[in-house]
Amino acid sequence: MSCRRFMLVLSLLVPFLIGMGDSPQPLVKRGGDGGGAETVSIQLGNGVVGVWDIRTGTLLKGLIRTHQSDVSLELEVDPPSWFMRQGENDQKIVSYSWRGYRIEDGNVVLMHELRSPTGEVRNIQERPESTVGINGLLAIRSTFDCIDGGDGSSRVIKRIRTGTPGGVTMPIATNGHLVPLGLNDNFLADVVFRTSGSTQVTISFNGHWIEKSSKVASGSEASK
Amino acid sequence: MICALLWIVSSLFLSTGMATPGITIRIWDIQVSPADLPQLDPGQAPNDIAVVPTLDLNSPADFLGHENTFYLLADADLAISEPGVYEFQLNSDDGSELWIAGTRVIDNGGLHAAKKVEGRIALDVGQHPIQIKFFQGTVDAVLQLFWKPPLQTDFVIVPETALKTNLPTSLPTSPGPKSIVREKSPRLPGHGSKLEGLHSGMDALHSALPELDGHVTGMAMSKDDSLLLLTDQGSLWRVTPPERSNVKASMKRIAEGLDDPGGLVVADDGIWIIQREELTRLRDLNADGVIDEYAAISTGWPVTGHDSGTARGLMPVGDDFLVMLTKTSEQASEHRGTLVRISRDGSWDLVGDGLLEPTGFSSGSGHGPAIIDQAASTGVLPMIPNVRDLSGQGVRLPAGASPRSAMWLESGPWKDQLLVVDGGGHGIRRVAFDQHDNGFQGAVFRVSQGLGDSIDHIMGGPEDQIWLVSHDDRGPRLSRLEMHRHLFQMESIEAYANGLLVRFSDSVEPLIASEPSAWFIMMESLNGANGRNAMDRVVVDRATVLADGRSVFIGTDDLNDGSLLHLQLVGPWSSQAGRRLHSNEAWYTMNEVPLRNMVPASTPRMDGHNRLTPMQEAEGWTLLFDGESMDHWRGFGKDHFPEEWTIRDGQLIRTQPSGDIITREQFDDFELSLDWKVEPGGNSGVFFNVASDIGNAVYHTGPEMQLLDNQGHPDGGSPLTSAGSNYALHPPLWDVAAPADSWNRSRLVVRGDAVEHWLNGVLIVEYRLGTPEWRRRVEDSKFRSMPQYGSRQSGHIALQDHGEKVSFRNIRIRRLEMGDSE
Repeated sequence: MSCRRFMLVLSLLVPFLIGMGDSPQPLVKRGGDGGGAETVSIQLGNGVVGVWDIRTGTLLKGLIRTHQSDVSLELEVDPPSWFMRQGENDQKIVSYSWRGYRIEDGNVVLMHELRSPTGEVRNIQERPESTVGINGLLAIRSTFDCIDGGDGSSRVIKRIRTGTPGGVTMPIATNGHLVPLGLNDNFLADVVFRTSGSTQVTISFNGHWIEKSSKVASGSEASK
Repeated sequence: MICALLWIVSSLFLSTGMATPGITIRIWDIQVSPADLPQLDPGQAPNDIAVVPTLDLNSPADFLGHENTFYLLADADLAISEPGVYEFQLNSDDGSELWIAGTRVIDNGGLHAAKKVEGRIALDVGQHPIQIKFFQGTVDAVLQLFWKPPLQTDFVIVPETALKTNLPTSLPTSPGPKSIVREKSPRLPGHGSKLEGLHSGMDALHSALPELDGHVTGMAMSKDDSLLLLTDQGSLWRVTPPERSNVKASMKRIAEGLDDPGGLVVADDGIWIIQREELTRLRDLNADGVIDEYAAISTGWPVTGHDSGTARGLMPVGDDFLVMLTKTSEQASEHRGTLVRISRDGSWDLVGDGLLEPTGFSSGSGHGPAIIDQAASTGVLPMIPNVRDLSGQGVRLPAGASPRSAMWLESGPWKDQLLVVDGGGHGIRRVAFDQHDNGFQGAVFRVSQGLGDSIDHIMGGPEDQIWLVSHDDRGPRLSRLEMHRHLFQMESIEAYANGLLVRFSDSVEPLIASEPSAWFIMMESLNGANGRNAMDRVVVDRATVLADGRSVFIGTDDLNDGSLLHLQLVGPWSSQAGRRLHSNEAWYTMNEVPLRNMVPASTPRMDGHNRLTPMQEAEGWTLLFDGESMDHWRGFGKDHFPEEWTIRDGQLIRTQPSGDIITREQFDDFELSLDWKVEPGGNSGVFFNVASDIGNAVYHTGPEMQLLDNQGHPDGGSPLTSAGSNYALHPPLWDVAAPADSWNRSRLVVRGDAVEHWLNGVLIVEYRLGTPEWRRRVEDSKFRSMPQYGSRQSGHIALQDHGEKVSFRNIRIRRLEMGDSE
């Protein structure tokens, strides 16, 4: 069986494997899931779990839990991972504070607080979800909203991974402005948030992980 | 000689240091099912010996083929590579104990089904000798030893890699039954032993919590008067307690996914909880009864030069909160516990340290927070009098304690004292703080058992209710307690440079309380290994009952800084109104001997001795001895009182051989009360229904309540002839006799053919004269040759001259009508 066919079979089995015997996991769990005390794990649906680092407010890893094992992709970004900029060449590191989360209509809203060196505070809400990404690949999509827009003169920048430390690239889709950092093997990019409205970032997991689950494929629309 | 040789050989073998991985088990076939861990008669080789990799034994094969009625010792050295507080758990069926380096860490004794009991101890790097004692009665033997090293979250079987044994399996064994030391009567609950059952002055309403996940780490009353329970599994439950007992409580999980939460406060702006590394405010934004906002208010709390720590406890202080950090590093550091004040905007400040392993704050308000701190095998409860260094403050709980939660009492006789609950099966205890020049110390008293094997949390409710969550083999349980009656007990202890002032709930009997021998005090240094050291006896020079009648000053010059005093009240303690003492022991933490002195008013005249109170007179009591004359007595077979019985210091003392004495009057239905003490090895007795003209000894006709030094006289070896027994016919239910040279109080009630023996406030023997059962017992005794023995309906009271010194005082009697009752 080829690797690709194997992954396809595995993806079909995922919904079956998940939930066999285990008691229901909380939608959100602080600590646990191998991330340590400084993490929060979120059941994103379709068996996908996202683990965020609350010290940086970034996605630490995505994983699918099965009875046999956990399948995961490491997505950690070394700090700094949040910036603000006034002009094209005035990007400044901002300090990050974890502000917890809300549950709205069964979905999780992460609450981030950014503080610029000048004292400007921006509160960012992130709505993560499991979806189907580029080329029908299983994906995690986060929708970011700045709930207090500041004076409109500064833009928020979020640094993300475009590939795993092991070299597996991940297609990224965003309606913000994607700025790859350095050469391809750097596997990092900055997303410059939109000045108004939501900014979406979709990280798709390529065939080295799981292409998609049948449930996702039949029920969701591909991201932009 | 053979034994000596074996000892030498085994010692040589042991000294070679040929350690092997695992633990050595030795098994003795004792062929009886004792009620608790037995003591082997010395010099007996085990039936079998083996080295096993771990202590995970649950089949006859694991127990080397033994199935029932055996005793087991397991010995090894425990290898510790990381210093810190280690938690242990013994699961056993039947009873077991874990000892580490001479300290009993777990007491899982008694006959019971498989039961897990936990304990903890601070261990340094190195080898620590451990011993597990275990006995199996009948049906299903299990013995498992688990541990949870520092920073671990789950109990696991102590692995083979941590165990090494020097005990060779070549030690001699021998087949056949082994003998154990005869079981002594169990000690009276509360007199050096745990109390039995629920405090008799409490009403309790229990309800099951079948859905509860884990142990409760926080508890609060919500705005709608339901209870909120926070569990170590990360859930927050809303519980509506039922109005009747022993039914399931209605409960709903309203929050989940919390990380090791350890404290809960309900405020106007939400429910505040402390997680491992986060202060979180929970809110129900859509009013559906479920939390949907988990707002992180503060996190991080870096402690200069160290890691941040796991947060425990949450206490509102003004608009701010106090939490405690148990550091995740430097577990062996002296100052590893830090107190943090956090404001509602998330800013924080370090306000104290010196804690060891804090687990939470007391609930209740108005008295400032008290901290519950577990360290080694003790619990510490410092107050926070705005000091930065909390070390050397507070009150220690006795060894083996595992305090989990505490609450202030807001009213009643225990106002401003703490109730403390325990995960180690010690029920509820009470702490009375004693403030001195440099801080706080104080006393601990037992309050109640009967509330499950372990108690997670306790909290005060409206109208002086007490709420707690406990666990036993039926699962978790919510209990609501209400105190409807206070018992006669010690209320508090204050320390002075020259002694201790003990306050009681009621007036004490001065004749008892002013006896120095009635106060048995041991002192233990808290500065030794594992915080413990050898015990020393505190010599009590004098005991003075103060004018209020409820306070007793115990004079001594033996008090030391940094010590834990264990007080036991010996003898017939009761209130002046005759109420029995609830518990006769207390522990006082002497961090520092205060400079203050007490000059108590001199001991009042022994007004209580050989006198009747107006109430007693009204009840019909008559003195048979007034401390000066012997008008009521004569020698048995004589018409005069023998001079070998002397009167000195208000006591009637048999000093020389003279024979028994009897009352001049005869009695049928009566109640007799008297105080007595015997010298070491002493023996005497009280007889009733004695005929003066039948036989040549009082025992030819009169049954006897035995008066004896149980420890020093051979008759003490058999309950049938021990102190308080109906001599040779009925043994006492309990051994409650005071040691030699200490006063006891006996009470004999004869109403028709019904007889009661009381000793030191405890009913220990009941029987009926003349019944077939009585006749059978007489027939099986030495009295079968005495046809008039126990046959009379009335007669003289007699005091026995058995050849040893015996003293009596306060001999009083009242005649009873058949309808009389207490």
